[in-house]
Amino acid sequence: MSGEPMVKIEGLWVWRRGNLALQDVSLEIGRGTFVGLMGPNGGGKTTLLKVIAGLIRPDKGKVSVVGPTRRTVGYVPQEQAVDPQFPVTPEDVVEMGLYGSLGLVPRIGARERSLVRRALDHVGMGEHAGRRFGELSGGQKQRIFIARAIVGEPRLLLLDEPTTGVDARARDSFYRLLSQLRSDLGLTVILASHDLEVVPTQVDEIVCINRMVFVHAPPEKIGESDALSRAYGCELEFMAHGTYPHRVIRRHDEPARPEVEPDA
Amino acid sequence: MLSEMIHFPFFQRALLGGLLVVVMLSLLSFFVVLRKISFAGAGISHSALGGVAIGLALGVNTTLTATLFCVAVALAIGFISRGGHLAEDAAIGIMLAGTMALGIVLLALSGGYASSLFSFLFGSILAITATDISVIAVYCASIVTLVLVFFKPLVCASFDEELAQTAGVPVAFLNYLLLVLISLAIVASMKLVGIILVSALLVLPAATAYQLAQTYRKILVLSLASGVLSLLAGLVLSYRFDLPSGATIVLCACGIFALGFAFSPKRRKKAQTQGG
Repeated sequence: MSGEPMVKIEGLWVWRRGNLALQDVSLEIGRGTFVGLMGPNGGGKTTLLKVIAGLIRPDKGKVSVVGPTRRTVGYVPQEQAVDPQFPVTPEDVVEMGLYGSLGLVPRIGARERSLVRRALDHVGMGEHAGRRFGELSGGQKQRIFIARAIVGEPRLLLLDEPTTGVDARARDSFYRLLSQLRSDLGLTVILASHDLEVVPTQVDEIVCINRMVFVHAPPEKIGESDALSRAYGCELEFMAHGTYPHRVIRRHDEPARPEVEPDA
Repeated sequence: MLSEMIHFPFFQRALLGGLLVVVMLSLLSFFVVLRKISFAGAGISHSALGGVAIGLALGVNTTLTATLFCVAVALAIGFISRGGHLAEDAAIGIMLAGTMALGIVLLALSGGYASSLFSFLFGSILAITATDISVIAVYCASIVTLVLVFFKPLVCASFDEELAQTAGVPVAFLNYLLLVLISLAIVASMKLVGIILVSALLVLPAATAYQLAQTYRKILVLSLASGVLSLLAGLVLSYRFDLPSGATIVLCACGIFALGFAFSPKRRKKAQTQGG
């Protein structure tokens, strides 16, 4: 971990619809770090991101993000359940990212328009600003949502399953964009993903959760314990992969919930 | 025909009152269609009968009791749908039936069942008074002002609640505000078009505009145009053929929607795409 923590989570417990979603989670994420949040389906990745984003209140424990959360955190949620016929342009969508910081009656002036334009240019979507949002491809929509998340100049970017359903080319392009945004804006990034093959090659640290944190370490140290296998409830192994100077994880079978006492 | 009718004071009042109502409802229909909450609109409008009947039973101003009753129902619908206590359509269905039944029972007990019920259900735009127009004007000015002031955050919260929440937009407040504005518009419109037909005018103008336009600015303009056209055509046809005005206005709105649907560029584009 590098420097002062951007996010500090202490003894976090969250119940969702009567089920324990997160159990005694404690974490520190350093400024400027790129963290891959991994774990099986239903393991609490999205819940943890939403707690950090301020969308879910913890039942117990404390979450602190440096700075006022609304302006500090940019959030790109999983599965954009947006009506494709919704009559807005990408420019309108990115502008919406500013409303919270402009008060209940937002006034869009020259400064705000320039921020919107800059965010669209940052994600390479400047020339699509006036198109109908529903006409864009999945990858382009994702870029617009990232532009919307960064338009308020956040310090922390939370991405929930951003590469689900995109092809390998769009995925590579996404990681290049993320790398550029991190260096341009000095962002701390937490990315939740199922992608056991690619994520470890991109991030500085991996946090593996399945209701509780099983491991928090740099990718190269992940293989030193069996924590990942315990989190997924199945055998996982590291293997050399191609010419890249890294290792990837091969999943053997279906994930399962770990045996934990819900009210320990 | 219109130039001949415009000389009659009752028609002038109907036209002015109708325009105020159409502006309010067309503007709100934009959000009703966008958020797919037309059933909530129907639920609130039907509950107005309960509010009116309470006013008649207590011998107090029916507009006041209908306003309070509809706002309470709107807030209850908002609370239930946000809290996930009950499926939203089930909650609206229960309230729609319960409040309407309450209205019918109270009207029957107060002795004016048949005449009052018909008048509240279907309205009487040609019988409105100058006082009615003043009341509608106050409601219309308040609603239009509030919608315009909160327009952008309302669009943002309609687009995606979770994203709006992350950006710090007060989503819950905006949801309740919209439901309250819808209930105020329903109360202001019920004397003109009746509580059954007002819910149709909360959907048809924007539904027509959605067939023809793709940006929200154009949809708003077309929604207003479609509402005004339905009003004018409905008033002229109801006068010419001696038809009930509220129902004729709604039928005209349905006809305009059918034309919009038939000539929708969006629909034709989709059909071409599917056809290869």
